[in-house]
Amino acid sequence: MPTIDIQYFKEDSFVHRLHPFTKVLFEIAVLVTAAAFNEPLFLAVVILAIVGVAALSKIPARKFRYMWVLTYIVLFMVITQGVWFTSFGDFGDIDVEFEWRTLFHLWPAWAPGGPRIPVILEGANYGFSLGLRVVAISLAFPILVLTTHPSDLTRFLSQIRIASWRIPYNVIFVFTTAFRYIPTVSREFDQTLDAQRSRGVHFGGYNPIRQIRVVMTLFVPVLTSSLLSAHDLTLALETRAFGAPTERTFIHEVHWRKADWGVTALLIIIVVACLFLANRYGLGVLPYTPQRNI
Amino acid sequence: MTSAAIIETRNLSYSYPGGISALSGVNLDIGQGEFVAIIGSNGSGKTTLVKQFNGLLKPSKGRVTVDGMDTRSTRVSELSRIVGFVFQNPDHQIFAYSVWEEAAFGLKLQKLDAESVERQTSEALQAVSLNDLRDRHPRALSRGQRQRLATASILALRTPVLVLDEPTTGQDFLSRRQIMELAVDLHAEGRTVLMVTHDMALAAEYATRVIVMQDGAAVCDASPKEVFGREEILKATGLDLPPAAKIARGLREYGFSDTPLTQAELVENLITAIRG
Repeated sequence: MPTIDIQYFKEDSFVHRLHPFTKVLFEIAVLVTAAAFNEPLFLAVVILAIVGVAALSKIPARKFRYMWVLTYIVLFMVITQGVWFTSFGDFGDIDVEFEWRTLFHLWPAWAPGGPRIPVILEGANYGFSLGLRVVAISLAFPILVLTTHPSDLTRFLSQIRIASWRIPYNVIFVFTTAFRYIPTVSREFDQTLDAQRSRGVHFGGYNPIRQIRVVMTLFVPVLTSSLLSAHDLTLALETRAFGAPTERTFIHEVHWRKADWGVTALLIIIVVACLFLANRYGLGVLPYTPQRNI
Repeated sequence: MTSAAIIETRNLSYSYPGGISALSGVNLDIGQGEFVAIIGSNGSGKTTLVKQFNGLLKPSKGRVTVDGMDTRSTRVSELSRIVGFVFQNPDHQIFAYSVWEEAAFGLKLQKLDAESVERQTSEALQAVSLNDLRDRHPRALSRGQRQRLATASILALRTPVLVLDEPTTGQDFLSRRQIMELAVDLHAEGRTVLMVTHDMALAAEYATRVIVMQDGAAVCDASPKEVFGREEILKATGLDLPPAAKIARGLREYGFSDTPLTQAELVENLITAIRG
């Protein structure tokens, strides 16, 4: 099984039966709510809700196993924000009596010289919330891809029309092909990984320069074979008269059902409520959030 | 020629994540210096089996030992010093800017001195007749040449065991023969060669031992003569007889009872039969 396994997972679940547009709305709702809050506890609730949706869609947990790499992103955010949080940014009308709390010093007290580099608790907390946003969005995205058949996505995109304008089929094709190629590239990646490990490349370890070299041995073959298969694809398309000027029809139609109205209404209520709570009452927003209007 | 087992599997079973069983209860002893052909229809577990031999896959049950090391507790990078693995598609490994660079990469990883790297790489490139193209960009090579380059990059490592995963698929007659001659030479040098193949003629002609895989089990493990003599097994696994054996099979009703493996053997046996 490929390391990164994001492709349509056939299953009969409530989420699978939803219209692709409803699922796109879900992704947007996740983006908005994750952006509205920055208190880790509130973001944890958002993540829990996403996990709930994933469970509802009956996607096996192993499909999300590769997400452990996100731990590094969270860790990176916590440390960088912990160190530099107070150095930059305008904290607006922060309480005058507010005091930053130091968690620990990167440069221990017993070591001579050097700046002691304090790690600020509030900064680390803010970094943690940024990391959780990334986690929320990364968890939500595969749900759309795993539960929607690629051709349903194509159909949905071709249904969108504003007055007489429609998304050109070429654009839709590029979009859906990108989805379709995720598993292919992922398989190429795994085979390359096997080939390089077989001749003694060890992935992992701590020497960053060595790691860059090692990663090169993966990316060059994967990129070249992707480009080559893209080239093959264009040839296959041409031979099947891609771009011939006809009205395209579809065998399978996607329907907007009652459940879609329900889910859409629910999503709108949740999003509006979250935005209202966060902006009006500052709920789920850290008191020391940096102001954007510097 | 055959001595102590270099690869041992004991009750080896393997299931892919998600529960698809690919190997079940495989017991094999691959001796040093053997030339083993592993045959079987698509999806019978041939590649899954050989991937166990250098630790790319670890047993779900049972164990695999390579030169005394348990594959479960040994890194692939360590096992790669014992078992060289040539993949079917060279494009999954080629990343360097020159033929020489590509072939020398594995040796540089082993931190050998420059002189040994140069010598072993040149020898390996010579063995696949690519030494004249050593400064070429690998992408400028033909598919057959790239396949040979991938082989050279493993040959350079001088591993005692060599696994070739369908080395002749998609190759023309000439490159096919070249690859087989190379395998025969390596075998003559005393190396252990394991070859996954669909080509019955090759298995019959070159292998000293044939393992037939079916549904993840080694259903038959014997000399080529014996395996290709038991037609019922091949039929059950959906495999064909090698051409020479097939002709002999057609002559059976005329009193010809032998199972020749090569053209030369067939001719010889026929002549003896006619004269006798």
